[in-house]
Amino acid sequence: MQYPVALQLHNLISAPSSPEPNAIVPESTAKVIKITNCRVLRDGKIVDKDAIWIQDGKIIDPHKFFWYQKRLPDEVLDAEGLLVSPGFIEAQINGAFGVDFSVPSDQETYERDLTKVSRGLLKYGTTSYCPTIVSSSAAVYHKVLPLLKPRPGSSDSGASILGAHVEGPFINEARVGAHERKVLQASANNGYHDFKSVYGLEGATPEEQRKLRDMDLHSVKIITCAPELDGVMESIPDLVKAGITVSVGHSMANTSEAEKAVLQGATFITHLFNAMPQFHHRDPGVIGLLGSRLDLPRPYYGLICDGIHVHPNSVKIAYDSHPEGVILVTDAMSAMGLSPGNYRLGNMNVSKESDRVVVEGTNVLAGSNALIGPTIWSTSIVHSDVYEEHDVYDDCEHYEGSEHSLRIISLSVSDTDDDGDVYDQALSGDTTGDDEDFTSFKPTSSPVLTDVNNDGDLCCPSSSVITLDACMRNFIQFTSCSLVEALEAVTLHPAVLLGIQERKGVIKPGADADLVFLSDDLYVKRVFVAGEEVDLGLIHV
Amino acid sequence: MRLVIRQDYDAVSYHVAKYVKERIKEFAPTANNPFVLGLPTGSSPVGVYRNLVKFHQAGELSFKHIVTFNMDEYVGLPRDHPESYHSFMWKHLFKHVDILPENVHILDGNAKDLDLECHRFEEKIEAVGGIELFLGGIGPDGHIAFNEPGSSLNSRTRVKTLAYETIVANARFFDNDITKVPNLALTVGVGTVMDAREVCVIITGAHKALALAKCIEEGVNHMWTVSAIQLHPRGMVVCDEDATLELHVKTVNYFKSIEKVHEQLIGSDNMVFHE
Repeated sequence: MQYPVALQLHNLISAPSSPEPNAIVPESTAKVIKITNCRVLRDGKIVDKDAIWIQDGKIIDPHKFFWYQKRLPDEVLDAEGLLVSPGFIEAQINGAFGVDFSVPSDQETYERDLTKVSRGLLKYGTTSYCPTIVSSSAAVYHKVLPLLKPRPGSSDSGASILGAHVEGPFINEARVGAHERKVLQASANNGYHDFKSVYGLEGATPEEQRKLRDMDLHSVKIITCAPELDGVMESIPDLVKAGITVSVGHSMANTSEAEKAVLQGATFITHLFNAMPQFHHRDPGVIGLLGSRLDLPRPYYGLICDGIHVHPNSVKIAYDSHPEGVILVTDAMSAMGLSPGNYRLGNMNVSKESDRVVVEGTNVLAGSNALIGPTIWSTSIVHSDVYEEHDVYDDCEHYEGSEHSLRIISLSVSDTDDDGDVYDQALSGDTTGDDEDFTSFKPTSSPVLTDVNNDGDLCCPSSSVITLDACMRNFIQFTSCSLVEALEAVTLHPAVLLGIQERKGVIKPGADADLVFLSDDLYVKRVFVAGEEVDLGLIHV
Repeated sequence: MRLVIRQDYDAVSYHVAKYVKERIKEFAPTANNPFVLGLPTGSSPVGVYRNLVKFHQAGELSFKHIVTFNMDEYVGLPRDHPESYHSFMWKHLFKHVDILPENVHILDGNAKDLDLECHRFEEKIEAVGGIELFLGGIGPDGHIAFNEPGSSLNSRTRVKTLAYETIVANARFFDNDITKVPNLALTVGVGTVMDAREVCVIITGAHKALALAKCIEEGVNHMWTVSAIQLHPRGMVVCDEDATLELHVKTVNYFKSIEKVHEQLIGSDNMVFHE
């Protein structure tokens, strides 16, 4: 049949400009996996009855695959209706499964320990993390940091490592938390060079360091520092230029100093509420960053969401004031993930029981050692009364878990209004001074509490043993936030903080295929790293 | 021609989807003898596709032995542009079902030789033995596919210039910028559609009422190209109550009465009214 040749109208009328309408799509012949029947977190929504397509360890655009490659998937997996989230990203973790990242050992042992943690974390849905090093001497950093360069994850080697989070040593002695005082640095008057020499940064200049970071050859991803120390505030722009995420933490900064740090380029607050002055209405300090004016950028903030480090109501207050900024972290330490048994942690012999660690042979919670520090222990909290099962301890005071006693020990400890008592609020009918009469307390049961380790509050959490998925479940409990918000607090938000949101923390074409399948009550059921499913049953730590 | 009137858009969508499913089931397609389906884009078939996907997910309908030919595609728009008809079909149907990519035929608006592309499309249809069932919608001006008023009722697949009205109407999908809207499209001809062994046109909404009236109550006319269905031995229009607003009461009553008789014949259980 002859068809009349149409006038070449399409040459006269210009088609809408579009770059290379039929751009050649590289044809990888690698295996394509389609995961069907899942509810997927995509672009801030949970999409029902969705499918995810994976090739070469990445998420691919099925649309392109269908039209250009004209192939069907090689393998189809049924997610059985489970919720699929991007793998969780942990921004602060000191160790787990008996491993402490801050303790240098020979390279082989350290690598083996690192793999042990990387694999173990998969059970809790964490597929990428920043091993965290507490304040240490330069010698320790020089030994340990070169071993913490970014590396991709796999179903064998475990979660991917994004680079180290160095928490200190440029922090304020007054808020040292559980870190050793003698390794702290009091100032950084030589700017970038001080940081470079202490950590052993690879780049001679910030620009060089940035280049190394862009090639994943850097070792430091996040620095927690106190901007009020001499020289630190001025160093922040250079650190940011070097491609490092700067976080305010272990600091006594007042609000205007903290805001200046943010203007200088700090984008994170390390474990909000902990190791910083308590919220005071006339000087909210670092916490006051959540109330910055709209034209000032508000940073992301880490929350240790075990219900002990931060009271659930405080979690909700932070979330309500700045829901887009929340990043959940565990700040977990070496005992996290250990099954019950006897261990040697630091220089102590301890017994890990099902939900706590005690000094071996006693009932005393392990925790007076400087390495571990006075510690609050908790387990995953999924119940409505978070204090039902948990005891809250300080060095020398011991309170049976009860909501009221916990409230009491969260009081401020300095006599800020000069009325002769250590409590800001009137207690036991004490109405001297300008304070309101805080009569909802039970005055008779208030003991004298002292801040034993001088970190500004009366309980002394240093590190936790909580897991990131448990943090997420707690977070929903405490704040009644949406499922999307809770998931984004452990995926999208940390990815954006670290500038890796094109490949981590999201489910979209081009991103790494790190996936967590969750049951309706948000327990980890299946995990994929770089497009390969992990056999969770094979992980023994 | 049969005119099937249902309550609303959802009921129409369900009816058409169920009809397609039953037709395919009856046909019992195989790899050597696939069911060839002609498919439209636009708002009319979205509900039909949604229902077809549901049937597929419930295990009642497989697309493994179905070959599809879409009606049209914009010229010059990249295939993965969110407003291309490739994207539309992927989003609403293909991504959810088990159709084989090689069985899907959509005109390539980026072909170097557009006329040859149209020619080839017609040849592909012929090669699979013609279209068994062609689904379609209708524009407010009575056009089917991009066969705007004045198109030959014998036309075949070809390049068409879009009417200004159509370009303006489509601007909402292109950031309200009419310079971004494609002004050429490849489309099957009226003749191509009517060559199918069965044609089913979906017409819903009050804004289509006039077009429906012109197409079935007046003469066969190239100004209302869907009117060509009057000459098809097996034509069907499925519409909702709103679309009947311009029809004579007599027409509506007649077709409703036929359904009543039909219902008595086959039993009300076998009538498809609603989910």
